[in-house]
Amino acid sequence: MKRHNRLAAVVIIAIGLACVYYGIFCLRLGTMANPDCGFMPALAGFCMAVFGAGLFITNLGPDEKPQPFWKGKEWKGPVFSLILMILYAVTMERIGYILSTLLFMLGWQFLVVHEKWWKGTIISVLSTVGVYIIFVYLLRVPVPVGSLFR
Amino acid sequence: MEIFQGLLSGFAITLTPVNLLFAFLGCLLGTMVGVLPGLGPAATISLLLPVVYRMGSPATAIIFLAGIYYGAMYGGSTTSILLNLPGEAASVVTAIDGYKMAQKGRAGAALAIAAIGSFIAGTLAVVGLTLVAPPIAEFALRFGPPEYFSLCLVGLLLAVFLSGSSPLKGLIVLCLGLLLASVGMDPVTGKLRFTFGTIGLMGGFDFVTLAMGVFGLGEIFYNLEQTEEAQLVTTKIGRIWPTAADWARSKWAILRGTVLGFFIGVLPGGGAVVSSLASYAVEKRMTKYPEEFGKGAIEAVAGPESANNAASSASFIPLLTLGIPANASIAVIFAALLIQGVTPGPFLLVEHPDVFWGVTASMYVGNVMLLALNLPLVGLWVQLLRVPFSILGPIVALFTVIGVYSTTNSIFQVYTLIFFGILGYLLRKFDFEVGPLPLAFVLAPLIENAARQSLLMSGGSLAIFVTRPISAALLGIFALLVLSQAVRSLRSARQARRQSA
Repeated sequence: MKRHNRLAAVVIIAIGLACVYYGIFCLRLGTMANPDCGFMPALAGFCMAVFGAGLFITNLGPDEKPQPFWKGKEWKGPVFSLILMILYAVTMERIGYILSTLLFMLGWQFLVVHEKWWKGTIISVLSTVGVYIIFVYLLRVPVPVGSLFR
Repeated sequence: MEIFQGLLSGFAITLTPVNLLFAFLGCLLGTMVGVLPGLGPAATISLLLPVVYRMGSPATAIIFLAGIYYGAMYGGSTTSILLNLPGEAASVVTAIDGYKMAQKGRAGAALAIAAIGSFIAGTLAVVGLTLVAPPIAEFALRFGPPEYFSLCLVGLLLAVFLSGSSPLKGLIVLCLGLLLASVGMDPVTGKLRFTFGTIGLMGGFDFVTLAMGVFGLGEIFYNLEQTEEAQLVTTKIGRIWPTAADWARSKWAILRGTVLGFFIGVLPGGGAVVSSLASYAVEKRMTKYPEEFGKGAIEAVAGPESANNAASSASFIPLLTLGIPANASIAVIFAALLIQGVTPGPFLLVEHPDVFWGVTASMYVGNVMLLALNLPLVGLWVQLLRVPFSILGPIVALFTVIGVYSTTNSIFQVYTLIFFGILGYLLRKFDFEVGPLPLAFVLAPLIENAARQSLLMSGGSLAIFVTRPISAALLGIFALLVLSQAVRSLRSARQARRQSA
């Protein structure tokens, strides 16, 4: 875990320092009597960098229990579902809610959870229709029809 | 007398058919999410925020969401006892002795004492809320910007120190929350911050999107790493009603848990998890049967379950009286109040007595509903675990996407949701406590405005924070907290060095 913490600390310090720079040079700090819009980002960024440095220092030395970021095939679920989510967001306004949701659900069933084809298809169709009924019919939420079908 | 009248008007609000229905739905949903591991009350409440937009009355909305929050505390015990599978973090300690009782064929008694203890503690804590909240709200009317700044500082620090394992990581998450909240238009000068020319960011990040991403999607991504199948339920429940000996051993544990849970619940970050752990530790010290602890001691179920319920009710006190959310779930309820046009804080009791007293009264009713829902239907709740994650996961993901899209009709918010989902996943993966993030995000505008107004008032002098008595007292608490944490860290570092040597 120490190696992961050190890596996280480096990223945190970088973000913190970037915020300090942005707060001071891109926004304005103002004066003590009249703090400007850069005051809070710079202060929060500074604190973040300091705490990040603290995290780095407290995690120096050899890692007694080294762990890989993902054990075995652990990565598959989060990575595939993330890709599906991005594709879902990209296609939703183009092909409409119903088709994009159905494809998303089918993708999830077959790629992420490896469901049997018939079970995955039933779950996908029912959940697409179910969520449509809840949001569109009951809650009157406007969902994208799809620019391709207009 | 004023309190009594207020409570009566609260019951008049709660006992309308619509509010009763939503209180029931809240308790039902809360019990469900309490039973199901991997989906906590904060995630569920954030998933339902788009529904709140469409609710006509703020009282109804908060009655509904509050029901989910305290309902989850009841539900969490069921799977802990029957399957050694805590559905909720606050029920982790219940699993230790509860499951052992179930293995001995005494699951019924454990479930009953958990439900009854929860009911007694929940109800007593609401009595405490009824009596304590109005005077606190009145006192908070004296607060100006320096007092609010100091109070937020203490609140956030307590949230970090009490909720997570690593204070450093908690503080980093706090800063991240403050930074995320500063995206968009500066409330004082109107200048844009961190938008980099993106129109979608000009209004800042939406709390609903943040909460749904970090709690909903982030939790799903994280749970997808585990490939365990849902267990089938084989535990026999046995006789439900506890014996006279069980009562004798549990009654003081319930009372101790209630008092402890109430006081810890009021503290920011205190919440249900810390109170159940504290109650377990107290019961372990107080018990006359130490040899039974960890092997099925009923007081080890009664105490923590009472404590987490008392804490969940008590955590409404800082929200309703000071406008300070005590934990992540309450932060989401805070956002729901803002969505409904109600600002939580000392003026809530004056400006929206219907919300204050309606929610308070609904908790009395909700606790009765939960007792009725939990004991007779225990078998049904356990069957919920048969719902595979292959169904639950994508449906929750769908809810987050459609929910976020429905609030703004903008696909940009869906991308933001995915960003927060990744952030929530990475925070969990790197072992960061996500709880302080929504707290800091919600309180950031208040902190920033209070700090800037205080400095304006004092002409740039920081002395304003220590010359006003309430602010000075709060900063004194802040200093004590930092000092005690520093001493504790030094001690544990020295101990670790000794052990390695």
